[in-house]
Amino acid sequence: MKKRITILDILIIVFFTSIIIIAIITYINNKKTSNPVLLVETPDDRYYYHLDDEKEITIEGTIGISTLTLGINTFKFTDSPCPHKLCVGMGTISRANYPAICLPNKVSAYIIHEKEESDFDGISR
Amino acid sequence: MIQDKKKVAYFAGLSAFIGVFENLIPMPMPFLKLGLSNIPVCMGFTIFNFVECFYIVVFKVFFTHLFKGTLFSYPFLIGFSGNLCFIILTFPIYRLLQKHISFISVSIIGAFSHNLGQLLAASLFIPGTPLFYYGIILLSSGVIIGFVNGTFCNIIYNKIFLRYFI
Repeated sequence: MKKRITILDILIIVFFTSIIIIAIITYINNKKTSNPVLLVETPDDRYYYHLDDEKEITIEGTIGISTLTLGINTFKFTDSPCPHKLCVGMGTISRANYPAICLPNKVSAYIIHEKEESDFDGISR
Repeated sequence: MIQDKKKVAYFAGLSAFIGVFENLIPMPMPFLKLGLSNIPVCMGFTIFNFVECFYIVVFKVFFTHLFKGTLFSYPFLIGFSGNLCFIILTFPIYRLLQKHISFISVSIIGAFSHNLGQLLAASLFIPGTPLFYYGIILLSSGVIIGFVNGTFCNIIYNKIFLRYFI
């Protein structure tokens, strides 16, 4: 085992850093949200909500009903039937493409660009 | 042989102990961790074989989830999958390149493979776009954390490990 950083180390660092940079560029390119819309996905359906008002929505997942509170350009899981409530623990999310996922209930939610989904008027597909 | 078993137990205990405390550190995303518990495992690569390292990792996963209260639940499945992927991918790469790399590479590859395993398990629950975005964040932070942990590993290896364990 080498005690200090080696050339191969630097090559491996460069390789993984380039992967990160490509991933971050992809992430940022998808992140530009002039008018954000919340996309909620369940195994059976997709729901779209405009984030222009404060309201509470309920989504039926595989093990029960998840409750999300929508704000102006933000959302958060406020209640979930899952045992560990990791989704509720994620708190308020305002960043685009930053998903909040409830794995046991199979409900995921993230903010997207409105242009892509302008045909859907805030309710469901 | 007994001495070896003692060492395995010591590293497994140390890794599990760090793992329990690591869970107390608040992180912005679920399943995102500092990976401090993998430092003893990476050190273990230099003195143990694959089976012994596998024991350490399995003990660590069971012990940390037992203390967290999530044993045999979905966080356990995701954690176990991540650790399994970590040991299966990282150990052979370490053995192959050990004469040419330091702990920085081991740690970065370890973090990346660990997060990849977690994402594979998570894909059983949520397929598609949200997991892709989650994966970008998780893998990117994993590589950065891996680099920091690898630097720590190099320091610990030179200052402590070589003195007391070799």
